[in-house]
Amino acid sequence: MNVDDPKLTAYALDELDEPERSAIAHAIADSPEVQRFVAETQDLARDLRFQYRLDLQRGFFAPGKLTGIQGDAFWSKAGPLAIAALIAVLAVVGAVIFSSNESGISAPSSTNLQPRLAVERGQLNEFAPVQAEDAPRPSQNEKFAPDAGPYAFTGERPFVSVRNRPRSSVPLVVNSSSYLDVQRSIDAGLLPPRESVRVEGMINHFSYEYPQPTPGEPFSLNLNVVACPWDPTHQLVRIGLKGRQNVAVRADSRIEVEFNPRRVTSYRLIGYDRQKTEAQDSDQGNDGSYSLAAGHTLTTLYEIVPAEGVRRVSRTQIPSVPADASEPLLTAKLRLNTRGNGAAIGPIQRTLSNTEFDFAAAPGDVKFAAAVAEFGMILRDSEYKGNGSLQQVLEWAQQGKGADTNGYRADFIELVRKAQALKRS
Amino acid sequence: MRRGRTAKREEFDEIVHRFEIPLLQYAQRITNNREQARDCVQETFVKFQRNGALRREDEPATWLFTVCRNAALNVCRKEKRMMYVDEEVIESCESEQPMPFDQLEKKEATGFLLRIVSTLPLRQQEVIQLKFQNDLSYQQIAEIMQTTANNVGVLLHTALKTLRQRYGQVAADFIPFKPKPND
Repeated sequence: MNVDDPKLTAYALDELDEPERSAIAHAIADSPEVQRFVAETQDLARDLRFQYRLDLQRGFFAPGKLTGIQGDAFWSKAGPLAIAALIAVLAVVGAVIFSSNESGISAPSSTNLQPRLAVERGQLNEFAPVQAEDAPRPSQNEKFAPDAGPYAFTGERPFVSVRNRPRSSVPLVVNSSSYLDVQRSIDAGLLPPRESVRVEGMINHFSYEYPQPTPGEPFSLNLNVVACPWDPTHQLVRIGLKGRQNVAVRADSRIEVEFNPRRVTSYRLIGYDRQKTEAQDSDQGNDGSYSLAAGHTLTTLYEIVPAEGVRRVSRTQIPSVPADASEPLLTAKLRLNTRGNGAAIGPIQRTLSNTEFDFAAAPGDVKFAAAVAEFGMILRDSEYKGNGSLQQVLEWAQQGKGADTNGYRADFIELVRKAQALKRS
Repeated sequence: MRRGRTAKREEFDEIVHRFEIPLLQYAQRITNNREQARDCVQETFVKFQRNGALRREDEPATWLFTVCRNAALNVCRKEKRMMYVDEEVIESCESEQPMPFDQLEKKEATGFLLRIVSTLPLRQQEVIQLKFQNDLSYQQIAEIMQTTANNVGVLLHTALKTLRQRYGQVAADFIPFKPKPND
C-alpha cells in the first residue's frame, strides 16, 4: 500500500469494517513509512478534535450568536431558554472538567482505575516503558467508554518492578506541542482535557542547563537523584542529554537505563503515557520521524522506590537484601543509531551512585522540571501525583526559575496561577 | 403528559445547544453570510421540531446537517450565486474562496490548526468539520453531502494531506527540539 491511498486514511480514522481493516493492518505491518503515515493521521485527527472542542467552548462565549434572531415567535421563546441552557451546559462542562482534575474530591472513574487494576493483578510488565512493541493489545473490557469523548483514555505507566524488568528505555523523541495545547486551554478559561496533557512534552518544552559534551563524545549524559517532592519516601532521578552541534541521530536511538535491584525496588517513567491510538494499535511506533537536533536537550524523569523505602506497590515486592550504599542506583547508556556515520561514535555510559539531595537543596533546573512534571500530573489527575498541590508547583517553579533569559519559565509560573484560579472558581 | 412535554422540551433544548454553533459555522461557510446562516439554522430547528424528528432514536446530526445544508444551498440558489447542482456546487459560490495559506498570520498559535483548515477548498473544509467537530462517519457525511462514502474518503484524505503539509510548515515553530538558547 502507499500513502496516497485514501483507504489508509479511512483505516487510520477507524472507518473500515472487517475484514478490510485486518487486511490493511496486515498489509502495512512491514512498512514503517505507511505506519508512520497512519500514526501522523491519527495525531492530526486528535489535534483537530481538540481544537474544535476548544473552539466550541469558546464559541459559547462569543457574543452575538443568538441576538439577531429576535422578533420571531419561535426564537422569542427559545432564545432566552437557549441562553439559560447554555449557561447550564457551561456549568456542567465546567463541573465535569473541574471534578475530573480535582484531586481527592471526585470518585475515581472506571477509566482511571485501569492502571491501578493492572498493578494489582501483578501485570506490571504490561505497561513496559515506551517500548510499544511489548505492550499488549487491550482487551475489550479495557477500552474506554464509547461516550467518554476523545480524551477519556489514560494510559499511565505504573511502577515497574526492578526484579521483573530491570531495564527501561527512553526514545530521543518528544513532541512538546502538548504544552501549547495546555496553555491555550487555560488561557481560554478551561482546564485542559486530561489526555491532551503529555507530561514528557511539557517538561521538554523548556530547555535545561547541561554541560557541553566532552571532546570525543557527541552527547553529554547527566544524572541526578533527589528526594521526590510529591512523595518523600521516593526519589526522583533526572536524566539530561545534550547534543553537540551537527550530530544527527535517528529517532530510534534510545537511552537505556538499568536499575540495580538491590538499591531500587521499582521505578516509574514519568510521562510517555500510552495514547488511545497506541492502545488500539500497539505496534505502530514513531520511528525516525524526528531526531534530536544539534545542541538540543532532552530531559527525562523517573520516580523510583528505593530498596530501603516504604513500598506503595507492596503486593508485588519481594523483600530485598539490603545493599551496600556505595553500590550504584542505576546505569544509563546512550544507544545511538546513526544513519551510516556511526563508526565515529563510541558508547556513552554513566552510573548514578546515591548522592541524594534533599529536594530543598536540589539544583534549580531539577526543581523546575519537577514542578512542570507535577503540574502535568495534577492536570491529568494522575494517580501518581502524590501529595503535591498547585501551590507547591508554584513554589518549586519559583525556586527553580533561574536566569530565565527567554521568559519561558515566568510564563509557566503565570500559567500555574491561572490554573489555580480556574480550580478555585 | 406535562412531564412528557417538559422532557421533550429539555431534549430539544439540548439539541439546540449541541448543534447550534456547529450548524451556524457550517451554514456560514456555504452562504458566506452570517445573517443568512442564522436564518438557515433557525429554519432547520423549526423543521426539526415540527417534524417530530426528536422521536427518532438515531443520531439527529445527519438530519440536522442535511436540512441545514439544503437551506444554505437554497439561499445560494436564490441569489444566483452558483451553478446548479453538481459535485462542486459549493465551490462555485462566488466570493467565498478560501483564504490563501500564505496570508495567514503565523505567529498566532491559538486555534492555528483551524485557521489552516479555513485555507482548504470549501468541500474539504466541510468534510473536516463534519468528521472532526461532529464525529460523523463517512456514511453519514456522504448522506449529508449527497455523495458516496468513497468520495468522502477521497476528500478527507486529500484535505488531511494538505493540512499535514501546511501544519508541518508552521508547527516547526512549536516543536521543542528546535534550536533554543538555554535558559
